[in-house]
Amino acid sequence: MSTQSRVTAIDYEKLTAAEKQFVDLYGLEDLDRALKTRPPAAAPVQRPAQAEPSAFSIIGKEQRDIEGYKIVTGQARYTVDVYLPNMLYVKVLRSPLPHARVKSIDTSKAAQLPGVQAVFTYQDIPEKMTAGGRPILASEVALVGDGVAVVAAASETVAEDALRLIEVEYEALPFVLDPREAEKPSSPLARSDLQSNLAGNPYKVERGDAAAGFAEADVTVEHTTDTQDQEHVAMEPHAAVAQWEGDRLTMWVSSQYTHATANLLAASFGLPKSHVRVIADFTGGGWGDKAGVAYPYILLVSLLAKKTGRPVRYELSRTDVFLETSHHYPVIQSVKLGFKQDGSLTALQSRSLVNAGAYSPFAAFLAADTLSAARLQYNCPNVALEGVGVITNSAVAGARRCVGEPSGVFALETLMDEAAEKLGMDPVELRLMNINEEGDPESGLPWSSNGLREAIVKGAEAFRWKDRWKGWDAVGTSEGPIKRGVGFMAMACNKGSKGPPMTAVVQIPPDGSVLVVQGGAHIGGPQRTTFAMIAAEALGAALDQVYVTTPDTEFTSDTGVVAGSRATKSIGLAVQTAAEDARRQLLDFAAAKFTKDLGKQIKAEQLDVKDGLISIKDDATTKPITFREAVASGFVIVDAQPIPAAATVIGRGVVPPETRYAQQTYAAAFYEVEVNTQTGVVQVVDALQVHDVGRVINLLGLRNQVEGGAVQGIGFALTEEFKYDPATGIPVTANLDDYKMQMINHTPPITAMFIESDDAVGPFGAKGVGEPALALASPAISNAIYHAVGIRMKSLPMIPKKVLDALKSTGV
Amino acid sequence: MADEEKVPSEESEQAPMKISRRDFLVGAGAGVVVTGVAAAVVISTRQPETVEVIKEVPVPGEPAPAPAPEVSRLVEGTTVITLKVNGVTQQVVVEPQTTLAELLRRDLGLTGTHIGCNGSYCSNCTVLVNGVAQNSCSLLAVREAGKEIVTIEGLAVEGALHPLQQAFWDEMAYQCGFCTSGQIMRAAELLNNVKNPSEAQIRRHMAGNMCKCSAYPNIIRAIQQAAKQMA
Repeated sequence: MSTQSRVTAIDYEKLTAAEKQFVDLYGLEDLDRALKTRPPAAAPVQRPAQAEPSAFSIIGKEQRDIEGYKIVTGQARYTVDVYLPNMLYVKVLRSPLPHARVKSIDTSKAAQLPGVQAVFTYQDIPEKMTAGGRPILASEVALVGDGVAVVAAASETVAEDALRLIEVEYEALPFVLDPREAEKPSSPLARSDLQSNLAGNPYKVERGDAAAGFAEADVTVEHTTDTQDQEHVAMEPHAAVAQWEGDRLTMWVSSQYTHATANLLAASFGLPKSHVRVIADFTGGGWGDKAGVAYPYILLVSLLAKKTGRPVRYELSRTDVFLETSHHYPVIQSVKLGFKQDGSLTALQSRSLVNAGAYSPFAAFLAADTLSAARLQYNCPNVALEGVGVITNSAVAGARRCVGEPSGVFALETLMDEAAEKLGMDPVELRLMNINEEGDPESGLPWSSNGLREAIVKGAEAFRWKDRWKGWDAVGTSEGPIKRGVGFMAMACNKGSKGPPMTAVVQIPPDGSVLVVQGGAHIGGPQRTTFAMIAAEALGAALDQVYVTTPDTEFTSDTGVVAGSRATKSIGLAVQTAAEDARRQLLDFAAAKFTKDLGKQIKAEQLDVKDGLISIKDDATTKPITFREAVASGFVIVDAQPIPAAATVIGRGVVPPETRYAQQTYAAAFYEVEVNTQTGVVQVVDALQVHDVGRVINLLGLRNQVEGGAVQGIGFALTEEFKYDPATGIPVTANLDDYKMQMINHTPPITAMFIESDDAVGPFGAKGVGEPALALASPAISNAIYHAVGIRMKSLPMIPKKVLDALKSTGV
Repeated sequence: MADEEKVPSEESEQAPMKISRRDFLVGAGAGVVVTGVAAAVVISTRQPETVEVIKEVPVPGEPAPAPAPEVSRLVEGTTVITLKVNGVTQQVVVEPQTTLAELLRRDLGLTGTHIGCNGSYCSNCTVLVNGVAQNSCSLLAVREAGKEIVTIEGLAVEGALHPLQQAFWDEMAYQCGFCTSGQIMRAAELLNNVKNPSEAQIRRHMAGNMCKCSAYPNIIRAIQQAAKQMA
């Protein structure tokens, strides 16, 4: 604001979007100088018009969040907002060393501090109780941040003071951070219980004969990329509150998947699941970090609450979150591609080395996910893939929005760009020539939908790709120190699919309101609004008749995690199925009511439902009835006679796993960047993301998801990195100052376009979108940097130092 | 409340004294070591991991940090302070280390104010203090005595949403909603002072408020929308 008042020469409002972007970053003072050194700005992409009018009455429109009132008034209750009477607060003493044995630990002074109610070390944890294989409190620590002791006290300050009174003597053990080191037989073991640092067997796929495929290739390209450790940084820190009432345990937890936590608690304490209740009303962000992961803190609060007989709350500090919870894992991935001169792929080979961190329950899946795009995105007869996960003394690898695919797609799509240049082809044409539109070559199943070609073609048109790209000769040709370039990428993403468990119930009580009972978290989609829209559309209800339950395991069934972009498609399908079942029952009631009222038989098939009113088709004279009138009448027709029935509707939605189709979601992205060759700063000035979503459900939530995903993707591409001091293994970015996130002043103009490919599986043809939204930015930006300055950035994040080093090495 | 007028805002260049929570806590923590304060008045830093980097750094051009006597007075024990929260004047007992955010959330039950980092990086905890948007996680409650605090719960008047609340809802200027209270309070400060802010002004003013969902484009749209309503 102060800058604003000092500068009078330039009228901000008259600037182009790209110029405004520059001003926001550097200030108006620098704009004049910059304008003299930059190429003329291309016209930005126009924001596409709203979705076309469709046959649907609810879905496809911009619908504000049905929970929005609570959020904008501060009434939405997140787990950290749960304060119970007589509650105790928890703090965890964490290891300062990456690998060590606890030689001795003395908690006697801490236990004597007034206000302290319980102090635990590993000796107090029941034998065999682990957090998914990870120690709840460690006797041998395997990363900085492993808990060695925990205190429950009357206040957080007392608990913190108690931590300082605990004396721990460690015996330091050799540690390893770098997965390339950890992979070697000579490496120290990351944990003494391991025989080798390899996390299970490598993931392997072989189709055809890769060696023969490369032998027949006219053009071969290969490279190795590396992507970084990234923390999710959900704004609500992880938190849990546990309360025992006899042998029943209630937990509030910041979670994307309450039923998984309930299962964990039931198994850990030997309880039937009916004795465990897990609640997550609102969850403040997750992106996989809260996807029902078995974290030590969840079991600690439960154990402490059991021991003390009081409610126990642990809200992790931001640093605790960085240290204890899972991260997006670093990946080193090599890719080799062989092409015929016409651009068709003959061979594809890739190996990814995944840093699984100190404890990874599913390293093989994490490795496989980095190879998903290489496996399925393009038609290629000869494919050889290998994914290896290794254990190191660093953050636990887990799922982060799109899991391994952003790393895999960065490796693949930057190399495709390189290949296009070598082949002398337009990178858009090269993708269009090779994309796999048929189906999964391994299962033989067809895709449930495939809008990738349309996404690429329509995106290229909207972005005016040909005009702005101008061919390979244009690389590095813009004048002045700030150079501009455009980049393209495409993606076939394995997320956004239908998968079990999928259950929901739709109730219509006699008052005619509609309650959707489902256990999916409300975490930003906005999922409850999506489910309300799907239920309303399927039922013919008005949207304001419908309410959707909070995730509470006491009265919802397990409908799976809200992650993997599965909520809309999987939970949405369960909701749609339940709503359709409810609709059938509702129409039975309505038919009976009409039959009684009109004195002639009206069958359910003759009825129509829209906006909460039930009418007889092709009958304009009979007054439509409301849900209330239908259900409360309490009659259904049996043997053509109205008979009394319980005046309520319970629609059931239980959906089996998909067996007919292979499922993917698709996207293409076109980015324009400016590279400051003097500072190394890369700034996105225009971004177009085109997503095949099958069908638009809520245009407002959808656009919001894609814009947010793009910004997160830019953070992955340019700034965010969780780093360690290699000499000590101590994290150096475990706070929100050193861990660099995208803020509002960095946010470029983002355009989201949607392709409706009418998926054969999803509710009303919809599929998921949240995850690929993050994955597109980094390869598109890397390719755009090449277009601007002729350097290939192969390491994320593309921070100024790396850009300057690369520029120096090429003498630009 | 003439005294309130004299209370300098953090932004004011005439601030006679600037003491961060961190500086204060060092002093307080040292007090514990030396005097062995009774358990009822336990004082500590809240983030042990930052202890070693704590030191008092005089800010150029500003008077020295708070003198020792003030700190000593505080460590003697809990204090009864009077402050006005969302229009209601109330007396509350606070411990010396209690932050304004903790007071609001834990003691007054105003959990709409959220703490994202407890270190003044994310500004999710933004509230208005005498009309100035502040990170409440980094203000000591005792030092806010006599001031007027407005939180997200105090923004709607008799159930009618503030134009910013309405616009944040209509434009869906959030996803998970956790940072939203802070975003709205920060934007309220802007719109209270600037009638029709430019997009650049909005971006600059909101640049400290973190939203990992990155609903930033909609936040800009919402503030523009609210500004129109309020103009």
